[in-house]
Amino acid sequence: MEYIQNAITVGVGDLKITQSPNILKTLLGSCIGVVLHDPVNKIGGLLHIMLPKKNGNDLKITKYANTGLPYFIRQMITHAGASRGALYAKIFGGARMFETNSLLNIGESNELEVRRILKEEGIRIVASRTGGTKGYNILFDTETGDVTCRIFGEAIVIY
Amino acid sequence: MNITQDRLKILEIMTGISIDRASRALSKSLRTGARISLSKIFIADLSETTEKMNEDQREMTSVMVDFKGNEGCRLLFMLPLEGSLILTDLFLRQRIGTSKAYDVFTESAVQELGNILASHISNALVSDFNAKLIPQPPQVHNDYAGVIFSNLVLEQGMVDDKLLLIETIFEISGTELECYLFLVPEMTSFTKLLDNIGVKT
Repeated sequence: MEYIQNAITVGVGDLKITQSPNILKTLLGSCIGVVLHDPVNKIGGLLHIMLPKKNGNDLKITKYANTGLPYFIRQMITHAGASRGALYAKIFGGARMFETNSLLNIGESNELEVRRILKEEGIRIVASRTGGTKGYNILFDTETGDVTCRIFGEAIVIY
Repeated sequence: MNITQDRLKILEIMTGISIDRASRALSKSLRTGARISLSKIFIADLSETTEKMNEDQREMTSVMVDFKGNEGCRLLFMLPLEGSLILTDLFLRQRIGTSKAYDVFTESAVQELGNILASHISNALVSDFNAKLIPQPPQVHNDYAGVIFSNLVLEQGMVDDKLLLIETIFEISGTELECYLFLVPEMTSFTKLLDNIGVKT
């Protein structure tokens, strides 16, 4: 994880947290992008989740919903100074990409796990756009909390 | 993931031979020079390499081919959507600029290109290095460059934070097509392949 000053791209399985005014951006296929925003302290983060559950090895924890999301929340509160009560989430991605891919339902599993954990943590989801068969291009403005989302071949929508 | 420099060097030689054959076959099919040269073979960090690819937000068309058999590998070729129209014209022996929109012919051209690349790369590895590689039907997908690339590395990313990545420079003579061609060999397969040819380093 990095604390950053300028707009920055987030890779697969990575987490970036920043203070306003900054833009975080990523591209999502079957992965899920979770945005957490504290509108009072103007702190925002973007976690790019690749898989629902970590399976007991030493791999990077931010790749997985069940380890990455609790870590993301902790980092937002204890390190970045966000207030838990002010935090809300927006989620994007989870598409079903290739029909013959052995990871057919990975996007759906990712989404279910993310929703379960956010509910458990008491963080409300105020906007989401998930599923489909095409990639998502998202830009998160940490000043306003707006997420500009463009699904491949579709018009831009702001959430 | 731990690979010696010697093993990487051997993989570089093997890849060089196979992509050279694919280049020649493609040149014959297109009736123009198609040059594929090895850019680098390296152990890539999943997050860093996808972050870099996510910078490229262009809309692309791609073909992905999985290889089954004793050795597993995945190939990805992609180019900007507008570039795929030039590729279609070359395959159909038309003047460049004839194809105006992405259609079934474009999809077939991209699919055919995947077939040519996959079959010649696998043939070289099978005949020269005793590999058992069977290319699966190519899958064409149009999307953002970063999304397509993430799909390429997804399965390897499930078992490791690092992956072995083969990056090439792909040029088609007389055009300014910017193409990507990547190969991602499975690490266990790669070790088996080296065992086949008696490499112990």
